[in-house]
Amino acid sequence: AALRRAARRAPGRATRRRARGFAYSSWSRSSVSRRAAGWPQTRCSTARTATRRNSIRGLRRSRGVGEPRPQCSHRPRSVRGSMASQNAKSLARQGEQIWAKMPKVNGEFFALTYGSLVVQLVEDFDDIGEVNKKLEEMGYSIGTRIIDEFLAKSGVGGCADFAETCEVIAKVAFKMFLGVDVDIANWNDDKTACSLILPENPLNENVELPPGKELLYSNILCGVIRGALEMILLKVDCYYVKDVLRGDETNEIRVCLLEKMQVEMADEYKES
Amino acid sequence: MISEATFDLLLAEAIHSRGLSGSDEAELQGFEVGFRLMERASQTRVLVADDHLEAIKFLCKDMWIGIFGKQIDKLQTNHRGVFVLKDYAFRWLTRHSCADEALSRARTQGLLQFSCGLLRGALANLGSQAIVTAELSLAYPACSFNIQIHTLPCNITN
Repeated sequence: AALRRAARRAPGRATRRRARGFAYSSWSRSSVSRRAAGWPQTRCSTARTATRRNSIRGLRRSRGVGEPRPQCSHRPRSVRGSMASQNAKSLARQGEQIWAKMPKVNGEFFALTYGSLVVQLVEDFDDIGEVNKKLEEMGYSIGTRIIDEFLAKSGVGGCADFAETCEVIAKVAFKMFLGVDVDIANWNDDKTACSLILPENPLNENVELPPGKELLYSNILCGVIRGALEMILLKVDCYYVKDVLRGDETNEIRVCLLEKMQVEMADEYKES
Repeated sequence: MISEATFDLLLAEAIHSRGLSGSDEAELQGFEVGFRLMERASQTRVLVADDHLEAIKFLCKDMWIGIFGKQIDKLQTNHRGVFVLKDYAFRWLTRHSCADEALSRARTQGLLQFSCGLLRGALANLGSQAIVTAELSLAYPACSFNIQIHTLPCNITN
């Protein structure tokens, strides 16, 4: 019975190594196969030598469920493994890939529709402040819907902190919805406020504002950001700092985190 | 180029947020957009629109492709100034889902008025005064636009 058991057992690791040759035995841990399997690239040499060391010793280190991956102390570890390797460049690439896949419409038509909307609002309301507020409110309700679209179409996972959220908005969201590359600048010390710099704004195509008006033409964008973030429980204050239509060189939107909201039960559901 | 999702959301907001479904304002907004779109189009190409049919054919082909990415599926005319444009899969309607006809008509009224205004504005830029109405008589995402062109006597200026 023992002999039959031995014959049926799969060739052990040593046998496989001998059959394939030594270099091949570390196939399962090599960087090529890890990337293929979707593991993030561990660039740190400490982790690499640990893996190689283990494979040379022939140890099959099957990790338990809760055991962390071999890591080095000098690199901070973020909550999800996939986000550890995301930086601005990979986000930008992701944004471009999704942009390429989205069905698109004519940019001029979009700008004209928005323009006629603004003209209508300016005619209806006397006070320009009211118009700005109304544009922001419309942006808010668009934002509450666009966040669903964003999460469905992009494969972005959870963000570790507000800084990462802003990066994702700038590199992925703006690119996939409006096709613009947005930069981030002017972080404050707490990392709770930043400026999004839009070099070009598709809403502004062929638009000229009459002089002397305080109209924030693209205020709808501020509302969209505010609405979208509120749906993921981040309360922000979002306003225009610089506007190309009013004479500055670029468009700048300031996003300030006010608080992280908690999901609470309404009073009628609470047990008294 | 803008992604379609953004545009759909903006249009829905523009039409519905101010309770425009009942009034004429959606049509007026469509008129302005159509007029300006045609202005832009005629800057880049020479439009010889002596004949109303040529103008309508331009609408069906180039303008519809520019906006929706497809042509109008069927064009009928009685050669006396009445044209019927049928689109069997009107892009803005494909996102709406409605089993009940009355309800669907109520919800999409603003959208259809906007489209009628679009056509009317485009024709106005080409020199034709027209009355445009839309119907949802066909199977759901299809709709048909009725265009009646007034041939008003006008002074021909160079």
